[in-house]
Amino acid sequence: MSHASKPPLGALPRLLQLLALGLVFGVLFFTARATPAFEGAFGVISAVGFLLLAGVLASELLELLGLPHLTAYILVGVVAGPHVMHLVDHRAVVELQAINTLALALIALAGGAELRMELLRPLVRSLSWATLVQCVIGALGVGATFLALSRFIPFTRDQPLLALLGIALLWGVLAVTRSPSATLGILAQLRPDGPLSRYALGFVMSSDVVVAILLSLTLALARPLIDPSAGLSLLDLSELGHEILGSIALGCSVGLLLAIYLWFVSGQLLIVLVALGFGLTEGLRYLHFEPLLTFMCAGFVVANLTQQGPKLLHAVEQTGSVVFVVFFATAGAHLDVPLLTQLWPVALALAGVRLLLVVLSNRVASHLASDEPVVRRWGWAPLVSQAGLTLGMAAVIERSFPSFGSGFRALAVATVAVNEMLGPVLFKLALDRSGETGRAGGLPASDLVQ
Amino acid sequence: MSAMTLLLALLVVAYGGSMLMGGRTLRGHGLPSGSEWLVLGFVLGPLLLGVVSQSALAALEPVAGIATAWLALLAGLECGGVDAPKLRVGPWLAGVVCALICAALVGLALFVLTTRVLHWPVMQAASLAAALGLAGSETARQAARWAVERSAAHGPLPRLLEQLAAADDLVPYLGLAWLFAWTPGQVASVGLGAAQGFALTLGLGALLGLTCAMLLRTTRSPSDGFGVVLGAALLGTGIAFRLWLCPLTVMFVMGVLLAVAGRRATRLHALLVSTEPAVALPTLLLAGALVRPPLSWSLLALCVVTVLSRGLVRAALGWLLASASGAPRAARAPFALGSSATGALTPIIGLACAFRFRGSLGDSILAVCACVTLVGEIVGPAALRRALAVGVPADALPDELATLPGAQP
Repeated sequence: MSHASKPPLGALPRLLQLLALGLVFGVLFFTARATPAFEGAFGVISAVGFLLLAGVLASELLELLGLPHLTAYILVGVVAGPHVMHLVDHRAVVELQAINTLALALIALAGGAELRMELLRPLVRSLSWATLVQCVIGALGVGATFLALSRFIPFTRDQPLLALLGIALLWGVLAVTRSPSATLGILAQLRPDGPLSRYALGFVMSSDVVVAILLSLTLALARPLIDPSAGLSLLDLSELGHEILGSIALGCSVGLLLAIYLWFVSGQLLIVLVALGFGLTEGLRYLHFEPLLTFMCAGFVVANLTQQGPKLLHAVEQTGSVVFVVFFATAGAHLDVPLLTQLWPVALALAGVRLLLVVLSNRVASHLASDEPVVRRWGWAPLVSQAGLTLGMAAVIERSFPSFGSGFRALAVATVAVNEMLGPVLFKLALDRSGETGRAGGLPASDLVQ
Repeated sequence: MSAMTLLLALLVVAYGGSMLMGGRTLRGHGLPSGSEWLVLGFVLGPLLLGVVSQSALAALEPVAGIATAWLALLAGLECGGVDAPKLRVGPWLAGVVCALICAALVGLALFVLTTRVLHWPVMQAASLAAALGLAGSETARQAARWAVERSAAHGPLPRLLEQLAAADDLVPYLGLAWLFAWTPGQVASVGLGAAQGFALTLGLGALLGLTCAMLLRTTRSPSDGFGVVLGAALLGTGIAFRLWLCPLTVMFVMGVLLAVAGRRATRLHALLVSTEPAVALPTLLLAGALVRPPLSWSLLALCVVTVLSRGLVRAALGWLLASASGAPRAARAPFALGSSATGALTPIIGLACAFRFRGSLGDSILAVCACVTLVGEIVGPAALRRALAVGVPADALPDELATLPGAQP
């Protein structure tokens, strides 16, 4: 998923790609029909292989329509997934979460390594205003819309007003989450350079921390509103402090160790990254630390405190070119199409209002920060995508409020589905229109070019 | 040991393996094909020390399945011409015929033993005989290369050795495809006959190989190409397991066609070939841990008959080939002994059969394969080195070998 300036392919190669895509679908279709009751691990293996091969082929073909690669991966997942063609079954989708662990670790490492101080310093004012305005307008605006639509939402119909307020607050926080994976996926594919790509990278990666804090605060605030017997507790904040500080400390240590390794050895990085992705994430789960933040800090330390950033990015690119395809295709297969067809009017309305508010907030924040024209015009585009982080937060809310949690999560899944499909397309469009696509000179992504 | 810990341990082994192995053989470290890892796996496995638990092994069985298939893909790439000596028709045919004779005679000996002496059911006996016959028919590429590289010799004998080792892989891979398709109750469950199953195995490999080769012409970076090959390999392996076909053959055929039809992707081929050490050692370790020999006199008899029959057939064939190639008389005996060298393919076949024939049959095949591997690995390479020392003119030998007693003046 890594070529911005590649020579165009002729009609024959495209035809061959289409034929190959049909063959790949056909082969798995035949196998799935011949062994309908097969429930072994090798079903998962064939699913991974299929998603990888079909994802790469579809991304090449959909390039003709100007769609980003990751949208093609997601589409392949949706079509082959358990709700449409059933070539990849539920079990495979669940088992593939292990690959997500590795993908998220790599995404966070790359994201951290891309955040270089010399790029961030000029953006501090811009990012501060954007974070503040996007959070306030986005959370309150989408929360208010949720409140207005509450009688059309099955799980909020019979809720008292105070509880509704609490749920709307939670939904508002969910609305200000972004997708670091989608942003990095697009940046890795298009290799852009310029104010917009730098702004997108800085905002999306830093918003992860902001949103985590915001969620903990909102959980503490919403609990007494939803459950009158519960008091206001700051326990969530204490746990959050432990989680964030611990993650940062561990991430810095891992970053230093990684830099030392890159400096002295630097061989077999693929194996090292795979071991780090799986092993460290397992350890972080045990410690209740945040993997995304830890890996991001590690990448940040490597890129900013040592000279090893390009090496790390190169290795992540090599590993990620395989892992990311499966990651996004699995996200597509995970997409609950029947649920989306059931909830689409509300989901569409909420996603639409969110989009409008993101655009509006961007205008306000850009004006206040005196951003460059390109950021004023297109700065909203990278902030539309939502994916795993949002679903993870919805799962936290579901666990915290079992009375309405499952309905809340279902609606979140439906809304994320809309944003997941729309966001990358808009971001690619923005980069293309702003002329930053393929200008890989300034961003560290240029180091990744083979 | 949990599955995650075992996975990390395997990654450490893979790391160590790829750091230690500069090329396609262990240069200066351990046995040529790294078979000592097989022993280590067995020692750490549930049967002896129990460091690796049964449940962790069960969880990582798919990893072992993928790894064996990947190694078959690399063997196919080599057989198709990547990183291999240029094959000539004569030695190639000789290698194939030798492997066929060896597989047939070893299989026959085992069939007689299991039906006449051990009184096994015919079907079971035939499956075991075929699997072990095929496993015994290889001459390890790694061992041959190790001997040639260590001796740095050149001339007709080293060439013959390399060509034989490269050619005779074809027989076990094709034979396994037939065996897997022929075994009743498995392929039949998806409505395929033996011939159809065999054809489907080759067809699937060919389809994936050609698709990959075609796609490699349109992908623009080795990492994308790697993704394409990995995707096709996983797809092929998964489908083969689902349809009860032989994943090793599917991947081998895919590798051959990928090498033949995608010759221009040399950087990708190099990238793929470089993964062999990192995959081979953890696979051998896992194979060792998965050896669960049903402790009995029957197993002992199987091991003895397999080792002896294979040794005798290989020695006879090796003698004939050495004589035909015009090798000096003194080199013929060590060459004959050396052609019984085994490598990673034998335990890999054992592992594939253990996954395919669950229960005591599969366990017996894997255990005998492990035994044959160790004997061949210990006896073969040293004898080959000796054969090259006495069978190659002194000016074609490095100093250290030219001074060995018996080296040609």
